[in-house]
Amino acid sequence: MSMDYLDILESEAIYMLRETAAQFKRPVLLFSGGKDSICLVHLCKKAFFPAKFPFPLMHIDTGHNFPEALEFRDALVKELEENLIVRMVEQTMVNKGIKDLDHKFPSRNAFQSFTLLEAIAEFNFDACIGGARRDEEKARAKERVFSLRDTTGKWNPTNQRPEVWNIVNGFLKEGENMRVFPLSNWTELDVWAYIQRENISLPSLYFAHERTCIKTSEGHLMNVNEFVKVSPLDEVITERVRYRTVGDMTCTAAVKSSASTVAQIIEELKISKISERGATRIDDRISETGMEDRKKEGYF
Amino acid sequence: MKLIRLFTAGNVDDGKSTLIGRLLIDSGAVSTDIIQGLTKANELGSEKSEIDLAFLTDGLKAERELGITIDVAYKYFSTHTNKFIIADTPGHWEYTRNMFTGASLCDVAIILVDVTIGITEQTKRHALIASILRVKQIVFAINKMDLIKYDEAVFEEMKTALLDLSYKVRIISPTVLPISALKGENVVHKSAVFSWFKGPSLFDYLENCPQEKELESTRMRFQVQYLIHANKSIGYAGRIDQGDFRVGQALLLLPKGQNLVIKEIIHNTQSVKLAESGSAVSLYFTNEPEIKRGDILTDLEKPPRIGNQFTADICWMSEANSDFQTNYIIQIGTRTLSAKLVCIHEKRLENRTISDNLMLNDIATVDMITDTEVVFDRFEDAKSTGSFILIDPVLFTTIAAGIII
Ligand SMILES: Nc1nc2c(ncn2[C@@H]2O[C@H](COP(=O)(O)OP(=O)(O)O)[C@@H](O)[C@H]2O)c(=O)[nH]1
Repeated sequence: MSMDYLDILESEAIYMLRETAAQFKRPVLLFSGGKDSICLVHLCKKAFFPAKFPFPLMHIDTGHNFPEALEFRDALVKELEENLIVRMVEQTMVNKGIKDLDHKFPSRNAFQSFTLLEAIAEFNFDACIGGARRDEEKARAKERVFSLRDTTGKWNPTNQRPEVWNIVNGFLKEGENMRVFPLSNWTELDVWAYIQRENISLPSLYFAHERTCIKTSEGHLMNVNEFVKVSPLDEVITERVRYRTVGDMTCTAAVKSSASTVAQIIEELKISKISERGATRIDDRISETGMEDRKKEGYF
Repeated sequence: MKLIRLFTAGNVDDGKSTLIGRLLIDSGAVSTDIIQGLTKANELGSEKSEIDLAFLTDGLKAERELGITIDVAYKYFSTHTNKFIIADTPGHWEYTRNMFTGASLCDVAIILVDVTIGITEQTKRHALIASILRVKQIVFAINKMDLIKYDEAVFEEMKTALLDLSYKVRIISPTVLPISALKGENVVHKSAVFSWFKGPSLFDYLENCPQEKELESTRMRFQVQYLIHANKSIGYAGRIDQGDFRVGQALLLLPKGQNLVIKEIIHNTQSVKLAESGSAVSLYFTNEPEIKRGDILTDLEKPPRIGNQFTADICWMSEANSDFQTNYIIQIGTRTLSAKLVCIHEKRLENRTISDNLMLNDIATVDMITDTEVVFDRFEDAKSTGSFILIDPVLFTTIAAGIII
């Protein structure tokens, strides 16, 4: 008998979650309401069954989240009876006197890292579990499952700890912090295949629905909402769309789609030729090394 | 669908990045926006107009500037039958440790050789690493065949030399293939230029690889990772390293030496009768014994050894040299204790001189002594209880990786 690849990925992720619970004093699971973190929650249920999670969940809320994602988050936490911490990026902005960017699509992603670092300090967290995957981006492709952040919260890509076999070194010096990525070896398609197999429910945003959007000059479909300045020159259209990632309403683009079930989404993905970030994140496209720069600054 | 982990090795400029780019693009794993991005990124620096396949894997800015692959980059692609994880490991001698890291979990090693250059010190080094890590399937891909007009005689000559090298480093029956990564000949598709070659394309070879399964052994191994306290009972959580575990089976708890019988196995929130090697489970026992993280459950017939001394092949990964005084932290699976180096037998590479310390990227056979007794296996018998890392006791960096022999 030999295990299916999804069984192997699942078992590896559970192994990493248990290592995190065992090696750290105060871990936290960063929960965004997106499909990757929903999968992580599902894996935690298995990893620690029948006990409750040995760590809280935390959401760094930009204030620009889709209402559907927030509703889903609250319902899930209630169902699980787990502890959720929410910290608002707006609060950091008020404290630091930061104003929203004067952009057509004012992203708060750049400020998110401040709030995260503040929350880490507030609760003394020593490990943050996240749903990032190596297939998302070139810089991520080199990141370890246990990825060290220095005392200022920065990632140093040139000095990573070798991760040999499945032995993970979680020792920390004063002020250091670990990021843990149990889904490192999953691809977008693996995540969807897992959602299908495990019958995991997701926010409605992930499935095709009618939405009024601005079509940008690059062809991105941006949701019309109170944070986005619509000008008379904009091409505003109503389309059947779905989201491939659920980030900020201001900078996450929808994709045209008629896929209303997980199976249909998987079919669409198999024939689609645009990467997940390329399709949906307008802020990462700014520079070739966009992600690496943001990670060095402490972005998750 | 199977999961196959492979790594690519070879000297700098032998064409590793080009080969991976080729595998990803020709198998359809790369998105069009990324291909466009590659063309854009290229225009900045170089004159070349065709896309540079190597850009697909050389991700980090520092690497971009130096034009070399510094760290292991993981890439993924799937076919109908397999999901592949490629560890793209750096070729330079300075990055032997990264190479060791990337190779550590792999089922398949692809070692590239530039046909116009032939076998180099790096080829030998990489073959040795693959051999030490007991990589099951080793392929030598003789690359840049286009530069010698796909000449069969040159290929055969180099193949003989590679088989000779394999014999010396104890690699059993490697596969040798001719390719041109740049032109895509015999990478994904079989091609007419190699009409004389009867073997498979590299891709066909990979498609038919067996997935890493438990070693052909009757040994059962389970390391306790974490204790789950619930409903007044304790579940001992961990991943089965090898063997199939059944309810009712008698096990030996080490280092205590106590006999136990499995009462229940929980796998994914379900109670199951049988859990196979590789599964993340939690085990329950009647009259709860005292078990802690790091304890090991094994079969009764072929248990691991217990002691405070062993011999190992290690790869030194730190800029600081080793010494015989420091109490290093040793982590074997889920256990951490303190250990010292007591003797360096031989360096396993080009400079075979024995010396007092190990330097960055040295691979050597050493004796180690631990402060308390530890349960261990020979790597050949059980990978997870036969491998370890050493951690600097002050900086907490990972400074070596070892295999118990
Ligand atoms: N003629 C020829 N050139 C190749 C081939 N494969 C790679 N190259 C070239 O060799 C150089 C080094 O390749 P690269 O993939 O960066 O090597 P790496 O350092 O091993 O990753 C590049 O200029 C490639 O275009 C091949 O099959 N034929």
